[in-house]
Amino acid sequence: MITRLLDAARARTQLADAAAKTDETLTVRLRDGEVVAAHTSEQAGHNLRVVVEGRIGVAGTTALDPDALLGAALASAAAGEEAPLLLPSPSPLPRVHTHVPRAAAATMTELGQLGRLLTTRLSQGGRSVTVHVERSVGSVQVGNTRGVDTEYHVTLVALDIDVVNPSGDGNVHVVAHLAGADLPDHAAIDGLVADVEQRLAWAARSAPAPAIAAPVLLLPEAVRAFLAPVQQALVGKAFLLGTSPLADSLGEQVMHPGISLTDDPLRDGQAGSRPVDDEGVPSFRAPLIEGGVLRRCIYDLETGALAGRPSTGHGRRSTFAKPQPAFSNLVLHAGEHSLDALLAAMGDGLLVEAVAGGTGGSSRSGTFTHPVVLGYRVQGGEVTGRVEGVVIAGNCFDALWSVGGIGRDARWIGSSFLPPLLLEGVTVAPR
Amino acid sequence: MLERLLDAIKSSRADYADIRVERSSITSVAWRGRRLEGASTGTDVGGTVRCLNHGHGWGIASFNRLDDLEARLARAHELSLAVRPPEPVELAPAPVREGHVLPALTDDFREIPLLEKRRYLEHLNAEMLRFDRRIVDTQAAYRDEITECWFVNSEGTALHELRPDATLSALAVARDGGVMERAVESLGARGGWTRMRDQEDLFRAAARRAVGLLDARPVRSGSYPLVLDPRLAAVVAHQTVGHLCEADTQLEDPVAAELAAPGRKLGSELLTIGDDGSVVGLRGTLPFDDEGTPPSNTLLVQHGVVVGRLHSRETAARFGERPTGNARALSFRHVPLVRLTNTYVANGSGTFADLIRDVKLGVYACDAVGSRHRGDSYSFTAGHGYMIRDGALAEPVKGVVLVGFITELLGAVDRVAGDFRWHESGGGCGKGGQSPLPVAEGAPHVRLRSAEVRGQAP
Repeated sequence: MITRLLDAARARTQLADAAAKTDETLTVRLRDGEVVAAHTSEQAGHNLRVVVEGRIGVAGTTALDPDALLGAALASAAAGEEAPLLLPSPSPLPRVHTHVPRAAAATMTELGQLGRLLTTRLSQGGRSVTVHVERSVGSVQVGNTRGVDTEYHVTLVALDIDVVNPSGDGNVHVVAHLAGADLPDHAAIDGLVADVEQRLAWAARSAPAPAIAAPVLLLPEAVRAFLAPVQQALVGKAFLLGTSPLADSLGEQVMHPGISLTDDPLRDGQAGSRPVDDEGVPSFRAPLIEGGVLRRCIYDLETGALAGRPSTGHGRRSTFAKPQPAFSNLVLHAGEHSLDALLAAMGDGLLVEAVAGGTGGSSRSGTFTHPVVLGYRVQGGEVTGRVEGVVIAGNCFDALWSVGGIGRDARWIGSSFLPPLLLEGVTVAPR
Repeated sequence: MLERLLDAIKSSRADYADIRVERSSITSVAWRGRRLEGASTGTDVGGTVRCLNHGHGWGIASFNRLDDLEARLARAHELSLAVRPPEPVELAPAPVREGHVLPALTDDFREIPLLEKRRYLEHLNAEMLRFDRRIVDTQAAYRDEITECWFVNSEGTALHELRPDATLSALAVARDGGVMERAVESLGARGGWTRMRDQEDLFRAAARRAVGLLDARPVRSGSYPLVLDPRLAAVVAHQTVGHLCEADTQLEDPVAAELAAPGRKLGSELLTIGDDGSVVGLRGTLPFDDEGTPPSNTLLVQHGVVVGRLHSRETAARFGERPTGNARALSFRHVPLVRLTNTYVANGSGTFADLIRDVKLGVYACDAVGSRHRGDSYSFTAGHGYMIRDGALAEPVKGVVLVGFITELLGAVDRVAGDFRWHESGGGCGKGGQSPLPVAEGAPHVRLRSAEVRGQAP
């Protein structure tokens, strides 16, 4: 439909682009090894952007009606915003694996077997194990009136595990995730199981909270929440509006020299991998922070045009909205330290597995207050039990100057690849 | 469409099947600072089929293309047969219902040109920009959506509804030197275009608050007598009692099941909390939920004791109770979950002045800009606040975060005022990846004898 849509648009404007996305997802949920829900979903959507007399119009539809979509986009342009938008011309795309045929062909029986395998490995001692297995097969087609016409296919297999372990002093919840373009292999499953077992062992006993000024070691899931203000600060729109605390610091040291952050759409087989963004701009690895020095923020076409900068290939569009800058795979570069070495370096402190989102803070200034959902006390470099009823609070940008160490064991959390991060200057307080 | 769905459902081989089809027209306009972010429209069409067989569980298929409903039913039936829950899924009985609920929209927002909506929002955005020179950034957003819904099930129920929903939201950012503050306001309504008009005060309020926060001091952490304004009190009721009393949450979460077990004392005897999806004209109100059950007024906590639960047909059968009309889905892409509608704290007596009169040193916490609860603990971030000193409101404070345990919070209520009001924000409720679902919340001012407030270190 994209070709037809753009042909029709050419009669009205020289500048138009469109994206079409399809997705077929099969979701199976198992509780204690039994399939308790099965859901299949087939979705398709088209998004069209036109520029008429310098004004942008956007419309989207899940009804397959190109004429109506073009009419809606033109009406939107009549009321739309002005922007000096330039569309990309066709160019070679990098190679990146986003589609694995065996994942695409996985049946409900295979997904159920995968869930049962994990349940069997994790079920013991009265634990309750819930496994969510999701397999998506989709396509992304992007085209424009300058001749871009590209399509790639994606698969995504996502596992979510929730283990409830009755312990002497209450139930302990441990959650784990795994996602990628392929079905997980034995090594990935072994790693996931070992990870969950380690956390269940750490959480088996409760322990008192550490002192307010104790060092805090964040595990990858907690690192993702902690870095949210940095991600927001690196979006080009925040630079453009001057609301990013990093907006005036390009080329400057903005955090500890151990911190390097890259947006990497070219990692094979990850949740955010893609050869081209949703505006037809070829993907490339984009260093954002290198050795603590700010290198770039991310732009889509429109935000880049308004800032007088080229797109960094970060345009993402949904069916019903115009493209927005968005990250692909965010990679925090791993360090050299084993987890044991980081624990030893910490001595006495708090190891944080998961936090309950952010409250009481500002993404613009970087302040945060995160209730700790699952955290462990560390004494003498050893984990001595789980800590309940504490929050960690501080300022993300300040804390990133006081990095005590970066772990070597990075993990994928959705589309982010994150190592453990040892921080000083974060407050641990009772809830 | 209803005839087409009724024809299709006859092909189902499942013991129970239903089909829900929706067609939505969506308009959105957004301003950021002095720039129009966009003015766009969309059309969203699709459906969901659910099948259930005795001894098995739900098989579900959702889709955009409506051209082969029989194949969708066959797929959902096949999935249902592959599901083997440890406890059989049953549905509480429900009468067969037929109806067309198509409210006459005298001011249908589909008839208002996009350009007029853009100009109106530009005007509202300008109200914030010109409020004070310290306003450095604004966001103004308008969204309307009108959804035509068709629902049929294999028992013979056939319903056709029109669900209008519109929202306005304002965000103002003020800066003075190195201090930057933000404030939000929003409005949501089931009504048409007229309900969205004349909202200049809403946008000026956001700007006024952002500027006011520049000079407010962070509250000092500690235990205080605490007065919640009606908005925050209502959000607390929604997030704590409301979600704990959703029957599917109780089935999944043993902590919720224990905290909200019928007969359990969950809070002060002054607290009565319920959920009422039948209140005329509110944002959480619907003629039927997404299983065809009319919503009802369900008391959840009466005089501090848990007395009720919210149900779908499935959870009602599981608990041996009656469906309450709370099975709601965000859209055709989603299955109905047990969801809140219009959640309220029942009125008490007296005025706000009565609540603060004998407070020597306390905090008045207003609005909620963030909330989290997990298990039996919570955190709520107030939008702004004031100190109470010697029985009167004193200086404004900011950074007011309430943290603690739900039973302690609800148990500490020692006054409930008689100034109840509903609040229909432009946001919504989130659960199971389905957000924002339109809801409303209502409460009077509520006082707690003592609560933990986290701000700056004492």
